[in-house]
Amino acid sequence: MFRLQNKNYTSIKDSPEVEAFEGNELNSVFSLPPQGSSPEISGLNGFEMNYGLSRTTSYPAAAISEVAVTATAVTEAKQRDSSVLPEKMSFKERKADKSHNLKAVAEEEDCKEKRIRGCTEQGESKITEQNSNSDNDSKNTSNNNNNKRETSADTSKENSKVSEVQKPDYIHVRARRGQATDSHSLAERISIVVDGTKFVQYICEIVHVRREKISERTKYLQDLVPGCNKITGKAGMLDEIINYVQSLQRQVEVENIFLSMKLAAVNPTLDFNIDNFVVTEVFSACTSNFPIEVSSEIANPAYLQFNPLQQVVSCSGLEMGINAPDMALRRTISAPVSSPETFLDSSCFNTVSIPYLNNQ
Amino acid sequence: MLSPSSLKQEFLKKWVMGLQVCNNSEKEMSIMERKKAIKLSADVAMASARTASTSWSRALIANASKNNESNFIVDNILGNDSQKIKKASILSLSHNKIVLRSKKILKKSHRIRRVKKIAPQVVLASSIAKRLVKKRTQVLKRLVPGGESMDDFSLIEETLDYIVSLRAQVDVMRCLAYATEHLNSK
Repeated sequence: MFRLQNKNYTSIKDSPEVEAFEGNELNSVFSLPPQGSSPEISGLNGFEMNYGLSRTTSYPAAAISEVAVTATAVTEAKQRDSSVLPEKMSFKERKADKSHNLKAVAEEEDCKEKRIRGCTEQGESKITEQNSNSDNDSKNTSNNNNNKRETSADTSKENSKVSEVQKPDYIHVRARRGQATDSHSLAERISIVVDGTKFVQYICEIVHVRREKISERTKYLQDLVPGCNKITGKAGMLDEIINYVQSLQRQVEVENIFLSMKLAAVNPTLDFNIDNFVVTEVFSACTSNFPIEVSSEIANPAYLQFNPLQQVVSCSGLEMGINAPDMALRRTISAPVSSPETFLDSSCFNTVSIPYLNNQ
Repeated sequence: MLSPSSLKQEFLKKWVMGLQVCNNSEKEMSIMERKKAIKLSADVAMASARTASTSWSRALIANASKNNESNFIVDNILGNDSQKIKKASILSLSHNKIVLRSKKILKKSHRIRRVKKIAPQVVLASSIAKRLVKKRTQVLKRLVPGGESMDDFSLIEETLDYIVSLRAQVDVMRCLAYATEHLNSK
């Protein structure tokens, strides 16, 4: 059992990514039974630790050499473990052997503590990169745990009963850990390290609120963008949004050009001498039945202005009469397809030059 | 967010103001010049109709006020507190630039570190999806004015806002075009 443990541990050392997380796990494993150094707990912990670590066995182990270094310690520990494990079977037997085992347990605790310290340190060093806030807390908790373990090493007699009570607590934590591995959010990782539930809740809340907000916005967008509500998946939705924005921008562009032609046709000089009262009337019209009323409002005064204009206007008016439907057609067809500037340049020349020649 | 009709009203008011300014300032214009002027005034009007509270409108105003001629139009459209708004928008733009630069630096350093650390990995489906989303986000950032310096969340919000006002703009423009057409046919 211990060999496995050691091997795993060394292999963890080699894989920098897993290191932090496993370190955290170790920390949490040991933090939960706070008085835990009775022979049974130590055995249990070792066992569970193995289980927790066994996921990482697949890493390429240059660990063998290091295992060899610790081989002596391992063999000793192995012997001791073989004596410790059967003790789990019954409480009475363990009591009988307790005096014999106490020393061994203390030694075990020592070497374990060393390892744990290494682990927590590594874990901390990783976590400091992730979140400076949690750093202090994790340090505190780990220190506390170490202290507790040291003090409780002396009073192992008292704790043999407690260990059995705390078993369910431990299982509870394991469940939490499973959750954390499922979702990759940072906050939930931190929850392993920091035992303060308030802090965890706080961060979870923040994450939750942010997610809610984003999903709400995306819902709005789906309502806004046509044909977006059928698509699931972020990439497809973004595609749709991009298309829509582009088509809108092109529409604006085309309307711009269309307008500029129209306004040029109406009158080059008096373009926007629309008085304020007209503007206000337009505003009043804006709220109800926008297009028709605006046109009637604008039409009257501008039409009056239109009359006194001379040749230029009439000429251009003719042009526009010819080319307006064409333009309209183009507008409807090519708005979402190609960049309007290019075709409009050419079409501008057409409208300006050819009909003019025709007129002459 | 404003209701669409009031947004349209606001936009039309400002736009007409801008067009008047354009008309007064220069007598003779080619079609392209006219188009440019209309576009500029429409942009600025749209931005100021959103009262410069969103970053896309601020970016638009800042971009417009870079140029000397268009600066005049911006001043006229924005009216009384134009200086204040302009200053704020330009400030935010420069701030965005700084943010952008720092982001670039960060990305560069990150890339270098990554190259050292990670050996070529198996390309997973999730990573492909992530890359797709990233690409599209970048395209969207280019489309929305001032989008280069937004994070994902604010980008979605700004895009929402931008789409609403673009729609309003298109509607108003179409109405005006229709009106002029109507006028022409009479």
